[in-house]
Amino acid sequence: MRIEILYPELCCLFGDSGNIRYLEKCLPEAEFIHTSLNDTPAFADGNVDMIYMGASTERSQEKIIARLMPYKEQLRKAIDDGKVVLFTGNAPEVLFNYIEKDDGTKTEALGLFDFYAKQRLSQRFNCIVLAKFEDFDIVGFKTQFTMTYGDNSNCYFADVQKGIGINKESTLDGIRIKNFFGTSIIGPLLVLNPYFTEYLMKLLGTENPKCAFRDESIKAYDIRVKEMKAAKNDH
Amino acid sequence: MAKKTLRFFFALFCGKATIKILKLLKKRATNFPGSVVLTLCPDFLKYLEKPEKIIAITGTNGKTTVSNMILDILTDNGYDCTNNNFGGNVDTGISVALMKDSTLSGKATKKFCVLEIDERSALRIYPYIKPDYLVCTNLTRDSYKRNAHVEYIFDILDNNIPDETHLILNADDLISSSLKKNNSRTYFGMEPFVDERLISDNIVKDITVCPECSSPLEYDFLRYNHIGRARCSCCGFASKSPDFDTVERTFNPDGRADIKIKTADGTEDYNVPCENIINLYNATAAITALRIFGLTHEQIQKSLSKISLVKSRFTSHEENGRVLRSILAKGQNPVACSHACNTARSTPDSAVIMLFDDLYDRRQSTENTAWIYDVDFEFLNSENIKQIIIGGPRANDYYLRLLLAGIPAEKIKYTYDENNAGDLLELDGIKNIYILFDLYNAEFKAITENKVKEKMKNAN
Repeated sequence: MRIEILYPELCCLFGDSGNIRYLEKCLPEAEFIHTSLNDTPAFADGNVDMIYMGASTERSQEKIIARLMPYKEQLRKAIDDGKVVLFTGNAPEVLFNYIEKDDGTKTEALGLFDFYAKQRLSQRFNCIVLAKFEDFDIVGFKTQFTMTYGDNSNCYFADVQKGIGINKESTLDGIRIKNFFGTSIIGPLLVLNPYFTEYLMKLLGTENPKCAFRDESIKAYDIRVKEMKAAKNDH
Repeated sequence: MAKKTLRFFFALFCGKATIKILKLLKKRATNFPGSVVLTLCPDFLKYLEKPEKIIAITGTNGKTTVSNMILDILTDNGYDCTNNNFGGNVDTGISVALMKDSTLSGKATKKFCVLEIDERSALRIYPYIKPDYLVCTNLTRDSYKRNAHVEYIFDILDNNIPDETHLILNADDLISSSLKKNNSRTYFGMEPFVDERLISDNIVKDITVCPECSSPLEYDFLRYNHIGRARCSCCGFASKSPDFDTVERTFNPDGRADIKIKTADGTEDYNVPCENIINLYNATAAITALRIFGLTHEQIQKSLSKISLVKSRFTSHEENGRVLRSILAKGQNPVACSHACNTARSTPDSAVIMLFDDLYDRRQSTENTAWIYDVDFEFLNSENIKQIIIGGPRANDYYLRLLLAGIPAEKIKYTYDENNAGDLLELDGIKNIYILFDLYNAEFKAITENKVKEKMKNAN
């Protein structure tokens, strides 16, 4: 099993490297490929089972768009072929049509999904997230400068109960197309969500998946779900 | 100076009255009088007259320490300075500091001023306050919620620091050393020391590729996180050469150190009230700023030998052959917490009590714990550390994080109630105890300290 981590030196802003370290513990037999900004992505030759990318700064995001642009058809094919792709934080925006900045200028992105992001550097947004994915809860946190616009009513990642969806008016978070999962939830999404991690492990072909430190992870998860349900606000 | 308005005078009067009332009530006037004046007159700072010479200090870590050192040394040399060392480093606190030392007509009563300035407040402060000298200690990852990321903070500073301000910058920080490229500047730095343990394996490195060409950086030395000296593997981008370069440090038994600083004119010796790397950087920054300000080597040397650091950040207590050290580790700041973990692994037979939970987040909601995956808890996976105790409602998260760091489960105990953390400590085989606590957990720290001290007293 080959898992490609895209640009870990840049896409590691909000505890994202926790996802990678946790996956390494969950899938000790897997080969992890760390692709740097000046490398050719491993997915370009089609020979990976999973691609992961985390949150980056706004300037890094532009560099990443430029680096991935020549490989956008290979990335589209990976998604169409049902490869597991997990993009967190502002990483999914790289695949949108464009990112609109404070001054109204637009950074053209890969255009794989019919969405766009509005970036407002004067409006930092933070919230907790409690959302339904399939038959279990997803928990996490958002900390971002952007809001996403587009219709994800038929392709959302999770149905939000606490926090916001792709923007403040939305209760549907992220994008899910086949085995592509794009969410603006940040950081150690997988460590916080043992059932989702096992869901991904199953998609990757693991029979009876058991995530690392399963009992401890579930205990922490159960407490967080309970706290989030009881939270007086979602900040 | 802008022509003062009636609104300004009214705000100033109310602000001064608020300070007086708080004083009568024996309450601290940190930010509240500032909120009063800024509500009444949002551009209050524009009209208030400023002292003639202003030294300001900003940066992610160390700004309070550097501010205090500069203020103490200036005061010792007879400079009467307006300052905000009472704790308010945003626009409200800075308004209070300036207002306290002003007349009812808004004239400054002191000639000199030392201000610690929060990085994010740059937008609201620098349009009105133009420091003659600005020290930036460093820029590293901080609270995600407040500060987003380093590039965001860099841009705020770069867009708002006045063009005429002389900068005192850390040559060993590739990020902050690039601030305001056209401003006049002086760099400070530190060479690797003979017996120094450099840390190259931090999780967080806020700059990893060349900002000019995105090629990998090659480090001459990497001290911690991204702090060190580097050059681009491809283009000419490289760290700056320090004008004030600490080239030697020798530890003294009293917790102080003797350092040698190389300058263009020779070498200067100082006895400084600290020994850890972070505070040695802080001392070097303070000395550099004061030399540029105009103090002589001898003046600084004499004053430095008299001062000590504020005790709330680091205290130690020795009893029956054991040492208890309490270290402030600013919560939600991965770099500061990693330093605390690094310190804790430096002594044999150690126990660590962690009180990191955010007191405020948990009142209404639940804490964003993503940051704990950027803290080097791996440093606690050391032969030296025999016991780790976690206190607080987020204990399960920390427990899981420590397991992911490879720490054996049998070394870890936890309690959801911080008040009980001290009870879990077992002193058998333990010679060094560390309490690592968040800024807002001072109360739990005090309770834990008392329990540990009691155990130390009663133990063999």
